[in-house]
Amino acid sequence: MSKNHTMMDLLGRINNKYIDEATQATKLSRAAGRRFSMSNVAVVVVGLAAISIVTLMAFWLSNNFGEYHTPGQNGYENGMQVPSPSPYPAETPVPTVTPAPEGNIARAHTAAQELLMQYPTIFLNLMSRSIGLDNIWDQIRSHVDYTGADFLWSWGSTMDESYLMDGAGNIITSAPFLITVDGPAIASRYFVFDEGDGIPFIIIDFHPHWVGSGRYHVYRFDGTDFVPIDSTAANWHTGGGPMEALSVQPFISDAGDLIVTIEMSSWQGSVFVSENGRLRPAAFYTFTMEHEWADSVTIFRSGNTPYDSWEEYAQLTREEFEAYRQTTAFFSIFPDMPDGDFRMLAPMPDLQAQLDADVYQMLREQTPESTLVAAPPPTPIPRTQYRDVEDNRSFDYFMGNIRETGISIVTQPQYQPFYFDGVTSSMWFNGEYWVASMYEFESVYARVMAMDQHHFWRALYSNGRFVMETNHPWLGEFFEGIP
Amino acid sequence: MIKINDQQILNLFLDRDENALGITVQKYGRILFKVAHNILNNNQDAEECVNDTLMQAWKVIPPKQPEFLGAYLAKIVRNFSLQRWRSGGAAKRGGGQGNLILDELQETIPHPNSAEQGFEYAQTLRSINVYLDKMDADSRIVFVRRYFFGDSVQDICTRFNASPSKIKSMLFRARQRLKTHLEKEGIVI
Repeated sequence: MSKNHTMMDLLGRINNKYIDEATQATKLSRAAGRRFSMSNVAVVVVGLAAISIVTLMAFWLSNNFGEYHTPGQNGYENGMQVPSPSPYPAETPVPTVTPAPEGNIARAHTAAQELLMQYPTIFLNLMSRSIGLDNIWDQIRSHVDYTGADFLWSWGSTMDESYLMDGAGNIITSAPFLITVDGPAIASRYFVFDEGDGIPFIIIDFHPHWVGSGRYHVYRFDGTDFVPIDSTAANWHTGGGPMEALSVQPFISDAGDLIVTIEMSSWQGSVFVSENGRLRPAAFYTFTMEHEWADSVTIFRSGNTPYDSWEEYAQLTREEFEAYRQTTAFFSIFPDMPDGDFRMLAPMPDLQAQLDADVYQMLREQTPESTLVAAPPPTPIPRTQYRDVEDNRSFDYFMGNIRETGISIVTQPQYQPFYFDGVTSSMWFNGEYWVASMYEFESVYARVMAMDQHHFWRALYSNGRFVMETNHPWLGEFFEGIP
Repeated sequence: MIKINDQQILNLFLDRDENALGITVQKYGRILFKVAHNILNNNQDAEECVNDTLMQAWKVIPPKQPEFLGAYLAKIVRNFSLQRWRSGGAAKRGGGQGNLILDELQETIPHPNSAEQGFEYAQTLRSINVYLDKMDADSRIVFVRRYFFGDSVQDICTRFNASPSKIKSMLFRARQRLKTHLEKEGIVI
């Protein structure tokens, strides 16, 4: 009998009074977060008053200065910070937002969560271009049994080939569907938007927190079901540093053109344009110094292939850029943008949601170490074969930390420890084969690494604290001394 | 809901009055079916488990006189359902909550693998009851609805008019705390 079944049995024998209690219960005393007391009411009243004041201020400011802020940008006007500005530019008619039927919205959220759950739980992505091996998949498969995996993704021998494989390595589908997927990834959150017609659509943020990666799936409600209309990648232009989308914001023109802006950080982002039913990456901007205090911004035009063909298109001062950013004229500074007046699609009030840690937990429980089985050690690949990797810093950084200072994430609970390029989703180290999987949900990060066929370590970062787990002897000793 | 209390039903059992079965079905049949169906996801299998449960109750009452008749019957039907689920068909067909619950309970659970298994089992059960006793009532109710009755998260949301994220969060925390509790009790995870 497995231990799972044992727990099922145990829970079947709990004290009858708890079963009776749960049988009788028709409501929770806390009403699952809906409990109201007089103090709650007071908070709500004060909150509503505050919101009213802020809204009036924003309305006044937008009418008097004609500027516009997207949420989260916290713009400054005349030295005064606008705390919660109107989402609509003064020069653009504010769309009449018809509240979507609750059924549709509720359905959107349910659908989004179901969609998230449908994505593969295990990803193995191998940038064969980087390590110069066309048959990398076969090599991996000969050493690691991923039979238990739902799906595996693998790059082909060129950047425009990729495959979705089942756990047995059979190709299910191939490019271009997955062309830009990169890195172990996990669908971590979703957004529900309303076009104002009560028909929601969903953007799944397929967010691996990995350099050169990121994917957004867009689903529209067709009256019956949610159907995919767009699938695009983001981030692969950044060329360094793991990016996290701060915001995803769609705009739509009267002509029906859809533009999606994805703000990766306070200093860089990208713009996607709907074209023939798919979102295409059109432009990318970054502050020149790659810091939010940089004084200029460079705008790049999308090339034909990721990584290679981003061309510098324009350069603006920070002031110019910020001035544009506050209005829908923002799009005019990018190349090849559709004409027309764009309006922002408002996130559903109180409905923009992220999955909670429970989802993360469910996914974590399916981490790949359990699928690893004994296999002959692979032949180490000479270090020099990694030279093609765009950013060797990251590899050296990671490996250097492993070798010399131990696990860097202990002392640097930031993104940097995960700051390495796609090739490190699999690598060889001192003759051991490592498989790394990165899981991310909100502020919770998990790193799962199979060090060889028998050992793993994983690190969970949550609420500013790292938790390490390993069954490796010397790593275990190492962890013991770490606060 | 039938207006007859458990003691009256028990009295019928004790008197060997076969009306006990019909009244039990009226009062608890729907709950028992739900528990079985949650695990088996099959009407016919669930109905058979309910029938088996009634048969078992008829056999053991008397001498047993459970204080909480509904809970007692729910345990029986749950065990029958799990037995049937493990016997092959249902688990492979999928669709019920059985696999999902097992997945969720992974890593929360002790691993009896020694000659002391029986002792550990009892100790673990006692520890789980202690844990349940310490839980706040809301979390306990949700936990029991999920892992004893096998209700889906959506079912629980509907029952308590709560959001899925809230319920999932409560379950997640409950599992984590149970794991911590068991570890503190020295139970091997």
